[in-house]
Amino acid sequence: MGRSCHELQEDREVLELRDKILLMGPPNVGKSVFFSELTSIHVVSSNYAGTTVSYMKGTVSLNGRAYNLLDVPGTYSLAATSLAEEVALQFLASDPLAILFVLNAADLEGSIKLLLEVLEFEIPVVAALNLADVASRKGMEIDLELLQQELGVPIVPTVAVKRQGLRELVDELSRVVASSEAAAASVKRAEEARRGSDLELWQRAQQITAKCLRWTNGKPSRLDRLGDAMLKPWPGIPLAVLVILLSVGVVVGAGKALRAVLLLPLVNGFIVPFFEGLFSRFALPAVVHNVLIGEFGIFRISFEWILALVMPYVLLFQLVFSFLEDSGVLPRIAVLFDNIMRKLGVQGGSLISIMLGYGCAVPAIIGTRTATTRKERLIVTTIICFAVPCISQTGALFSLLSAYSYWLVLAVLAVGLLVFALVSVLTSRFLQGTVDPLVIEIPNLLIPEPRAYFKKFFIRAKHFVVDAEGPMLVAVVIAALLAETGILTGLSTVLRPLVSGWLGLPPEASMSLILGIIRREMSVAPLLALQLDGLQVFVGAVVSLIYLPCMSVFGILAKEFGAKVAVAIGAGTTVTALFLGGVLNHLIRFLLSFA
Amino acid sequence: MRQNLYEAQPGKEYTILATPDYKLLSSIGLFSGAKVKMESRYGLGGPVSLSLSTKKIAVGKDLATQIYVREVQ
Repeated sequence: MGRSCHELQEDREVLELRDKILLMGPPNVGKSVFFSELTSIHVVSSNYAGTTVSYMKGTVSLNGRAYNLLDVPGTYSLAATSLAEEVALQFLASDPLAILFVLNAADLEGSIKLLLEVLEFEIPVVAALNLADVASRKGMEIDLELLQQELGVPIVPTVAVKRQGLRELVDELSRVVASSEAAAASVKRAEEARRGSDLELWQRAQQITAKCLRWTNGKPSRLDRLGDAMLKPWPGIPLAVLVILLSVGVVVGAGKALRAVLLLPLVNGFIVPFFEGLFSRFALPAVVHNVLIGEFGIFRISFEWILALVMPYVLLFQLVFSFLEDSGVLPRIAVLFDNIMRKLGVQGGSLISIMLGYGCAVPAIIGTRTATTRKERLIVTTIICFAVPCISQTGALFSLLSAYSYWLVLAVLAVGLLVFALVSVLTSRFLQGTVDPLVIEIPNLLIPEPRAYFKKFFIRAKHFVVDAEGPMLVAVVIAALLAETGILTGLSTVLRPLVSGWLGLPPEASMSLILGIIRREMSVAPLLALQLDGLQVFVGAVVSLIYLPCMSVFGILAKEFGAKVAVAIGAGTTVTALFLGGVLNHLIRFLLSFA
Repeated sequence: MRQNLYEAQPGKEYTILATPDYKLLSSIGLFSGAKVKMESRYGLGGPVSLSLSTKKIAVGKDLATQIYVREVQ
């Protein structure tokens, strides 16, 4: 596949790293837990369990030396049917010292089959037999001695989320890495690896499993039964809807409460007055004073917008979404709603990337690498850019709309879903290529282990602060300069025909269009300060919902699909947003004139 | 009796007879000779869910109709 070189460019640096140990295994086996328990993380490219298609890099200390541990995307095979599998293959071909392979004790056959494929590359392997607790609950007994013999690799039983077996695993890995370094010259190149056919490998995996696995009477837990129930159309669909509503309710409700009870009083009662007091002590020129602490001053809106508006929703979303991801709910949703997605021209599996996009579009677009065709990647990416607001923007939109009426929240939600469906149907119709049907493994339902869960949450929260803070502060500074130096007045005059004449918004709302170039929620924030009527709030919200994805999204679009796609999506979203906003404005105004 | 997987009956066990040439199927373990238990079929063009050895999988309608199976007696 020619496109792979281009799309995987950023991986090159990592491929060339020395002293690499690969962390591999099938999806849903808890590899990310191993990764975060074993390493001090240096670079996190993305960490989305089950949907990790980028890699993570960290260092692990063995024999008193630091080695690079790379978390390779979880795949079912090494057949290069998706970009994720291609990434895995490239890593295998990049001359690693050793592989830490995670076997799923609860799905021995499938993980043995993948391990057999990995073993063909003749790289030293240490295996962890994880989820041993789930397996014994299901009534499986595994003969470890025999399994080690059959596979010819050392195997350490683990329950990674409880840190069981990790020390033994590190000892074993140290030993294998030491002997691998001694024999480094004998490592075979990937191209030379002999590949058995899938069928041969499955038969061999079945034989080994039959030898080493004994069934006893398992006791399916209440969680297993709930997991099965969630998979049946009834009561699965109502349960899934309930889970989604509950999640949205928790994020939006608790976010609003946090904002009202804690953050707004903190910002308006302490932080802003503190800076007002501070800056009034100096005899600053009026313009400088206003840029710092005026109505749109940097030290006012950076706290009002970032701390009180964006933060609570982002953190709550991560908290809730990490739970959904780790619990195994998402693949069930993908199966239950595959029929709707299929009618829209994609398949249920894309819902996982799309739901990720309600958090942030960047990992969601990287996540589309699990798609098996380029067409599906493009459709899902276009949906995310047009119709899926990130959580910062959702929080801002919710604050804007709910202050006026909850009906407006529903109306904008309806517009969002309608645009979602339209974009999906149109792109699947007019883009060339095919979309493959759903094929998905459904993991066991789990309650995330608190340690691993909170560790992941903190990593993500830290990342948000590191990655998003910069662009948000840039937007804030630009907003302050625009508003407090008179540039905005000039700009508003120029944009007046568009902003006021066509969209029916006050001229100052032109700031939204400027700031929206940098970040999505920044196109909403300025509207909060304006006195708008219900229709203006609605039109403003719809425009900013569809309007440009943020700068970081452009970066990832250009990287993953090339500049042409990035420009097309940028132009498409802008034109659609402004067109639809104006049409809604004039149409509703016309209808209201009869009321 | 040979039938396609989409028309299989929930609760019954089947042997796969033939699958379309689609790489993802064999990498997830669905190839001719494999035994599956039909779990659910989802309405309105939805997928089917199956038990395959120790795991559960779902396969979209467009693929399931191309997979041929025989009931295990």
